[in-house]
Order: sequence, then C-alpha cells, then structure tokens
Amino acid sequence: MQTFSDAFLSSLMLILTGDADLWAIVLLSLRVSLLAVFFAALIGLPIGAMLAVSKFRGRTGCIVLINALMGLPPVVVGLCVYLMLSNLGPLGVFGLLYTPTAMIIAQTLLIAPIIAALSRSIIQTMEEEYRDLFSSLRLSAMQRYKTLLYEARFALLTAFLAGFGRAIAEVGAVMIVGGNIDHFTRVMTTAIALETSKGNLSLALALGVILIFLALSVNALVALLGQQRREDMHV
Amino acid sequence: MSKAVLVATDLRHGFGNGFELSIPHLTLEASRSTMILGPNGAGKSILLKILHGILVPQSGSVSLAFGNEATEADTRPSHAMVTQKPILLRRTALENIEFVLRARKLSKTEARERAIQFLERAQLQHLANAPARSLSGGEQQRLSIARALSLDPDLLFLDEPTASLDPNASNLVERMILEAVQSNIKIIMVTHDVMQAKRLGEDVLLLHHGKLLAQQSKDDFFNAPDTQEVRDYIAGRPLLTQTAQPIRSELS
Repeated sequence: MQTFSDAFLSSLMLILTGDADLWAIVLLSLRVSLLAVFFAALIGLPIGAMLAVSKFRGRTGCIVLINALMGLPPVVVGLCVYLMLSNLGPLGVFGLLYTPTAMIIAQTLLIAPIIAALSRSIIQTMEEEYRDLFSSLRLSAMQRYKTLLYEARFALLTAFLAGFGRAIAEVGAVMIVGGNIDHFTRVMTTAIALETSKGNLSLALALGVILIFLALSVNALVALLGQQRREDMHV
Repeated sequence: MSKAVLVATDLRHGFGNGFELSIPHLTLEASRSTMILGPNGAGKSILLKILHGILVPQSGSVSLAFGNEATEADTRPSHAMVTQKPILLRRTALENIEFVLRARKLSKTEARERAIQFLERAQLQHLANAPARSLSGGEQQRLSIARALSLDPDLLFLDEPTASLDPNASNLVERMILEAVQSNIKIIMVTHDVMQAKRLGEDVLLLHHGKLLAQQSKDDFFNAPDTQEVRDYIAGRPLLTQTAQPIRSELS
C-alpha cells in the first residue's frame, strides 16, 4: 500500500509526463460531458424559456416538476437509460449500450432539468424587468424570446456551468450505461472508483487532481469571460 | 374644440388589496399636455399603463384617435412610454435606441443613423458606446426619453420621469419633454411635483384612491380650484377622502 505522499508524487509524474492512458480518459470525460451540456442546453433552454415567459394551465406544476428533477439520482437515470438501450429495451436495436453515446444520453437526461430550471429562473427574473418595455414596443413572442436569451447570455453561462459540473463529476449513470470499458468508455470518475478499489492510488489521485483542476479552470474561464463583459455592460 | 385624442370609458381595474381604479369617463385632447397628479397609491401609474395599452383593464375601454374617428388598434397613433426607473437593455446607449428601431423594422443603417441623431438630441453622443446601465440616473432617463422619441410617437406617456433625479438632471429631462411638446407630441405625464406640473402641463388630472377628483386646465386647477380636495392637494395637506365621488370633466 502506497503512502499518500508516494501516491501524490507518482500522480504528479503521470500528469507531467503526459501519460497516454491518463489523457485518453481525461479527453473522453471532457468529450462526453461537454456534448451532454450541449444537448441538454438544446433541450433545457427552450423549456426554461417557455416556462419563464408563457402563461398556461399547469405551469406551476411543470416548474415544480422540473425543479424536483434537478435532484435526480444519477444511478436511477443510468438504470432507466440502461433499460431503454439494453437488447430488450425499445432502443436496443441501435446497440448503443456500453458506448460513449449511451453515456452522453444519460448525462444529457441528468442535466437537462438543471439547465431548464436554472434558465427558467434567470429568464423569468429578466422578463419581469423588461415586461413593460416589451409590451410598450408590442414585441412578438419570438422577438421577446430572442431578446431575453441575448440579454441573459452571461447569467445563462452559470446554468451551463452547473450542468457541466454535475456531468463531469457524476459516476453512477456513466458506470451503468458505459460499463467502464478500458480505452472505450472509461472516464475520470469511473476510473478513479476502479483504480482506488484496485489499490492503484497514483492513477486515481492523478485523475482526481485533474478532475478538480478541470472543474476549477472551466469555472474560472467562464467567470473571467463573463465577468469582464458583465462589468462592461453593468449586468 | 380640438379633436379628441384619447377617450376612456367605464374604466375599472382592481387589486386584491381593496384598491380599485374607477373612472367612468375621461377625454384627453391632442393639443394639450396632460399632467396626472395625486398622492402615492392613487392609481396614477395604473391609469397611465391602461391608457398606453400595456395593462388591460378588467372592464372598460380606451380608444385613441388623431382624426375625426377613432381608429382600430393596429392603425392607432403610435405611442411610447418612459418609466420612472428607465428600463435599459444590457447593451450600449446607442444599441438601446437601435434595438427599438430595429423592432420597428428599420434597416440596420437607418436605425444607426436615427439612433445617433436622437443621442445627439439628448446630448449623449459622447456616451454612445458606453454601457447604458453604467450611465448616471439623469443620463439613463434622457436615454430612455430619446429612445421613446426616436419612435416618432404621437403620444408620449411618462411615469414620474424625474422622480429620483437631482435638480440639474431634472432640468435637462424637462427640457427634452418641453421640446417634445413643441414638436406636437401629446404628453401624458404622471408627476408628484406640483411645480413641474405647472411648468410642463396644460391640463391637470387629480387622482385619489383610484377616483378622478378633478380634470381642469392648469390655470383653473392652480388659480381657481373648485373643490376642497384640489385646494388641499395644492396646499400640501393630506387628502382624507376615502370614497370621493368622481366629478364630471370640465374639458370633456
């Protein structure tokens, strides 16, 4: 059993020497989670905007539901996607189980409610602020949506970030639908779980360091990009 | 008698807290700027929003016309509104004006030229590329008025446009409003400032608890008030009438 300091030193070596296995895992993690954020935004943003602006029967119920779905347990999402994609499931014919695509699907379902709920809240606040102006100008529904999304662009980055944070850090769903197959569906979180159980602490720790570093740097990047513009525009 | 510009009939709009705006009849003339006075909670802003068409009253109707007959909603005279707290987009001052012009289907070039022209009229040309929300309160309000005027409105609704401004900033805003009046734009403005109403208005409405207590020409309102409520209001005494009976308009 390695001591913590040994494990930490060898993990730094792995990072600094550009270990191919390690970077393959990191890149796959990024690809899966970024694509999941992209697809979740495509689904979540229109739903959030619609819930923010439209008035219809059952709207409050929908908002409660979406908010509740933010706390979906990843293993349950993984299980549902597994059942859908397994040979006996309705989408079994596509043979997607244990592929990165299955992992993207699971993470998309996991974070779409987060993006929908947060963007609903952001856009609704902004809509209340601009309602009189929009009504005064007699803007169409489409013009309102377009303007609100543009005006809320910096705040919406936070919603995407929250989704990315949830996706890159979750382990349950990708483990179930991806299967943690070496060089194919192994991502950082599943690799950390596996390597820790094997006692290979240096690789687990290296991945842990990179995971934290990635989470920090993505947040920092968005904060830097957004902050400057926010200050410029006095958002 | 000049042509009517705005006729409101049987207006009623209430809230759960017991407040109800109730105005059986109101006629405002095109050629005269109107000041709406009244204490806090009188329903002035509600009335303004209803007249502007951004709040649909629970009952009653508002018709607008600039001719012998009232026109349909889609061909009615264009109007614009300036709110007490300027509602500015998270864009530059110039882009704020361009936005409303683009919404009115002007081309990019036309919108840019017109926006620059109206920024100059508001003496804000040096701040064209500054973020609108970083401007001072007075500058923001002038931008808001310039943006409304750029739409070339026949009617301009203003809701306490100088409420939170210092005297100098108020003066610049008032100057823009007077220029609008001089270019034949009908002004309907809510204000708490009696002296401002004297300076800018020709007709005065007094509202209290959702009821129209007075509608008079400025001279009659200030020099020959015909009710105790008007005398009390001008003297700065509290209006105690809870259920004042609406009076018949002298101008209708």
